[in-house]
Amino acid sequence: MIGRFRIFPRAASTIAPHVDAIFWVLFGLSTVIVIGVAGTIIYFVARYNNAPIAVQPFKKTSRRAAEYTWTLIPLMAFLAIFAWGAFQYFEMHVAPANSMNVFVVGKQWMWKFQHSNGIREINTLHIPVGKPIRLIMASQDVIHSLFVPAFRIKQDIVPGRYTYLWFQATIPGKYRLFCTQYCGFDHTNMTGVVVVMKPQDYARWVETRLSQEPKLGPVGLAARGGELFQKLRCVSCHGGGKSAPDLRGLYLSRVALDNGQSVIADNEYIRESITNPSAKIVKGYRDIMPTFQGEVTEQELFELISYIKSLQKEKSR
Amino acid sequence: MSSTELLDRKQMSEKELEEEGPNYLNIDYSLKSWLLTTDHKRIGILYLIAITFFFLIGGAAAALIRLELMTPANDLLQGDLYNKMFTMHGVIMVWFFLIPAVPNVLGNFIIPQMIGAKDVAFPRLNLVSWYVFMAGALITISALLAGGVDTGWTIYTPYSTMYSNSYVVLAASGIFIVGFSSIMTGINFIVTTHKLRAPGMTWHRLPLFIWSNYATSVILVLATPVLGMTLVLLVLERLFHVGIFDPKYGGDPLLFQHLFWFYSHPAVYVMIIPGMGVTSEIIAAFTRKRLFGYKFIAYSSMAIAFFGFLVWGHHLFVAGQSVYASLIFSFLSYAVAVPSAIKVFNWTASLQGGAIRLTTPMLYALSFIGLFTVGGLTGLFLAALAVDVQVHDTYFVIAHFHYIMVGGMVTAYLGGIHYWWPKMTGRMYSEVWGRFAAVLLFIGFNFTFFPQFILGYLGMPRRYSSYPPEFQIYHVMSSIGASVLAAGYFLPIFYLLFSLRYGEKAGPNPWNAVGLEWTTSSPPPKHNFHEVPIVTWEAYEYPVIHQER
Repeated sequence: MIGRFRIFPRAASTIAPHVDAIFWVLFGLSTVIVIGVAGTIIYFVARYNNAPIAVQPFKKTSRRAAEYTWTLIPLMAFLAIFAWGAFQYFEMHVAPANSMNVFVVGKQWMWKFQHSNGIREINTLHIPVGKPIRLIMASQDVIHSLFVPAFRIKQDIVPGRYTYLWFQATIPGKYRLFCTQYCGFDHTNMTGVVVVMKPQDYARWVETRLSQEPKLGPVGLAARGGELFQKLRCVSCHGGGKSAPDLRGLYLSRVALDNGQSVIADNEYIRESITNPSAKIVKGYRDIMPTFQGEVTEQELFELISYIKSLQKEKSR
Repeated sequence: MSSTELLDRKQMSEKELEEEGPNYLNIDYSLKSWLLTTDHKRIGILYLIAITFFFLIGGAAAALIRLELMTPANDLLQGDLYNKMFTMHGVIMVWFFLIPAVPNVLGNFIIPQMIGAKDVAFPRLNLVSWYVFMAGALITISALLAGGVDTGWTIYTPYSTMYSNSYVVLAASGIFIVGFSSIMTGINFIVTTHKLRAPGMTWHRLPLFIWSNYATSVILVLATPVLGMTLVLLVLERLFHVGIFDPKYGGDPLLFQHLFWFYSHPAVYVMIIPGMGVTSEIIAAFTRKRLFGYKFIAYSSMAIAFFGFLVWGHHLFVAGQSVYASLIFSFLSYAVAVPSAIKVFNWTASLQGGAIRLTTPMLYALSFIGLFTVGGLTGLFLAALAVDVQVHDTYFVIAHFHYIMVGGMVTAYLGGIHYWWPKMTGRMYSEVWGRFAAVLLFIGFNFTFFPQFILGYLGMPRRYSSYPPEFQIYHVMSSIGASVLAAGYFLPIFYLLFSLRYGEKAGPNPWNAVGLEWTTSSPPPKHNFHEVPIVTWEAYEYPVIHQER
């Protein structure tokens, strides 16, 4: 648990044992090399210390066999570890399709978490054990980095774009969370806790939180996004008029642009279209939308994206 | 058996010593003669004095950091004082101590003597380089002392451009200026090595110190301009919001990291390759034989310099760069580890059958091999993509690069200072104190930095002034080790200064080593050699002196 002295961190995610396996192989290899080199040095020093000067005539020593041996054996060991490390790294970057999305905003100097059901938390993240969790992360200001040592995961959060992280916790409990990219004055206090709960405990927690939530506005990210969509007057153009594209069924569809190219309408595209609308113009429309850079927070952008995601294509009659 | 007998030193008679003519030190004592000197040896001494001073400032910052970290709470350095302190430590140690340490002090002093030249190729440029260095250093240090800079030495955007309220522009200007000093010195050494070698001193007869400084100079000349450009962009962005790095204006923060590490990773090799050169010299001298695999060691320096330019992306494995880019950078990082491994194995093999003398410089050289090996091997952990995710930006990284830069480079630098001190000053220091300090340093260093590997894998992030209580024991160990380490660094200052007045006279070749620098008197005359030496022997060709004991 938190606060207990350790010499090796807990392994509390599905990826952790795999990372540790590479760590221990590297540790074994390093130990063998350190003991080998140090032992050889000590042996030679003990044997040849104060040996009489230059008993052998000068010769250019270099045995090809030795040189090739200690070049090729490390090279092959290195290549094997490289491949193994890369394989696990790629595993870390592909979230399972059934992952539960959590939106994360890093800002000086706090963590804001937002669940799809609308529950918001600051510096604490509650999640169920055994369920893949996908973090969609944005920064409100400088670069931050989310790090949970017990899960062996870390990812920088870069302003102006989204970065992602996924993990599946395996043991219920509390785990420390750190910001590991220096972010200014109170970087040292940009920490938090991940609370991993048994499924039934988690369900109870969600229920309790949601029962308190109505005071805070509509429930669910998409519903909040819908309210924003009205408030920011997005609806006056995107609500069926001819001046702006219809957003129903937009999410993850292919959009034709006026420069002849096309893009997939993913999170990044929608985010960019709100903060910098002139970057990509949909074919058949003019570049008339004002920028919402500075008008909407990263948290609101997540809500708008969730709302747009929820808009289904009208069934053709 | 006294240390002199141990070294089979040829005793010089008083008469012989008195017959030596004026040397570079006693030829003129005036301040003007020092400040306007174009003698490479005196410029080396000017650098020695300057960087020793900067090392003490950077070391004081480190001492305060270690003191703060004795307790989990933020208590000693409150507010952003801690942030300013680690920035000061990093900036001063990297640009004003480590990068100039071996090339500008030892390189300046010894390179022309080693190749049989009167001076470097451009003596006046050499002096200009020192003044530019001092100007940059004073500007940066005034920024660090006036109000401080709180960005870390890595000055990442957009924090440094939009958010920091400290003297970023002033500090960056100083670093920008210092870059020119690096470039000038690099060019000077490259030309010197190409054009001023004594007759018969072919490339494959060059001491390995020359090879390593040549490789270093190539890096300095090619990489430093990129740092200059990056700093200009950073300052423009901070002052005029031009939108290179800030996403608000259409820029990309990762672009800064790519540019910064394109310089800074090769610069990391500037902070180790010269140390490898020093170690090679010392091992040859105190085993009294040619190094095993001379050509492999020489060319591995060049290979490290070359590959060093292709691995910068391994600083960005969790920064949000493409996973495919990470794949390639990880592969190349393993590639650069191979020439480093070759060097370690060759140094170790060189001990076999040698006439080993455990003098002070030799103890430093053996410490270097041990500490560099640990530093290099832990680099393999960081290069493994999945493991890097865990240890990136934690104390594991801190421990790793301190093993390379402090355990490796500073140890080698001190080894070099002790090895060439008799040549520089004409005096011998106390071997007893020297060996004691070398051992103290090795113990103190490991005590300070080894616990940080454990801390790092546990998840302790870097640049934190407070931390969870379960980490305290490791921090306390580290801080206690640091005080031992500090003693190890202070001792040489005392006994080396003491030796200037009370040290035994060294004579031209106190170590009985081969190499052109040991054929001239100590301290050498202004132009190093009275006659141009003609080289007819191989590097490290130790003659058979005694067939039997």
